Amino acid sequence: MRLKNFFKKFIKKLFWKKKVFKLGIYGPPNAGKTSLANWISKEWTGEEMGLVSKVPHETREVNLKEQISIEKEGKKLEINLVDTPGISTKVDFEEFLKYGIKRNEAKKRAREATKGIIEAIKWLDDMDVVLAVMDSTKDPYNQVNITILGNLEARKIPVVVVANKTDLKSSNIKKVKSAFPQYRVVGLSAKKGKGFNNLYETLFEVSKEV
Amino acid sequence: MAKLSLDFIPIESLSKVSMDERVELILKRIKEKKIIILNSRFNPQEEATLIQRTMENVNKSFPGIEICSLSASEMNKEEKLLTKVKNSIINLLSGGKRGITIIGPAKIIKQIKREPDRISLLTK
Repeated sequence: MRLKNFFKKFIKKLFWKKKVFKLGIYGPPNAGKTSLANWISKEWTGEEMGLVSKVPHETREVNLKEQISIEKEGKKLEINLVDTPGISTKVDFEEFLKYGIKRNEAKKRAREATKGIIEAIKWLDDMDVVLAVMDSTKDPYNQVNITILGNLEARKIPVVVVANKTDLKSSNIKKVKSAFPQYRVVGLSAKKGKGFNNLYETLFEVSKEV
Repeated sequence: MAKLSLDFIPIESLSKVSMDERVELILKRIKEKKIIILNSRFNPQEEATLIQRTMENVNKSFPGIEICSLSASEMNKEEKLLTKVKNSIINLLSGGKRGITIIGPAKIIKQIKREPDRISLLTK
C-alpha cells in the first residue's frame, strides 16, 4: 500500500503541474497583510481586497481573490490570493477603546477577531505557498512568527518571509534575515509599493516547488 | 495587584495524554490565573491548537494568553550568540522538543520577551 502511494505521488509530481495555486498571507496583526494583498490584487486585477486600518484586527474574515494572473518578463503565475486575519494569542476588547471605538463595537470586534484567528489557522492546511508577513521595525523573534513558520514547516508548505514596512526608518531587514536564515526573505513596503518585483521573482522560483 | 501563581509541570506527566487533552489541561490552569512552566517546548501544532482553543475561550475576564518557547540550544551559553539564536530557531521550527515553555494569562502577564539567552517575563 505504501509503495503504491509512493508511486502515485512520484507520477503526480513528474507529470502533473499545478496550474493555479493558493497563496496565503499570514502574520500577526498590523504586519501589513491586507496592504500587501491590496497591492498585489490592485496591480493585477485593478481591485483591492480589503480595508486597512491602524486599529488591530481590521481584517476579521478570510478574504479570497481568485484567478490573479501575475505576468513578468514572459513568466506567468496564476494564483488564488488568500488574505487572513492577524494571528495573536490574545484579543482584549479594551485595547480597541484606545482607538476611540465604542464599548459595544469593541466587544463585537473582539468576538469577530477571535473567530477570525481560528479560521486563519484552519485555512493553513489549504495553502500551497504562504507569505509570512512580518513588521520589519519590530522584533522578529515573537512567538506568533515562530508558531506560523513552525506550522508551515510541519505541513511542508513553501514559505516566503516578507519583511514589510521597509519605508520606515526603524526597519531592519538584516535582523529578520538573521532570525530566519533558512528562509527566503524579501524586504518590501506594501504601503509604498516598493520591492514587489523581487517578491514576484521569488514567487516564480517558489512556484516550481508546488 | 493580581496574585502570581507559578506551576511547574514536568513534561513526563503530560506525555501519556493526547495533544488535545494536554492543551485543555494547560488552558484550564491558565484560566485559574496560573503561569505554567514546562520543561519542554510545545511543538508548532500544539501551539496552534492552544491558540485556537484560547480564542474559543476569550471573554471579558480572559482576553487570552502569553506564550514563549525557548529551545535547549538557546539556553546553551557556550555557543556564540548568533549561532545560538539561529540554532534555536531552526530547532523550534523543526519540532525539537528540548527546551522550556512559559504560558500564562494575558490578564496577568504584560509581555514575555524572548532574549537570546533568556526569557524575560513582565507582569502587569
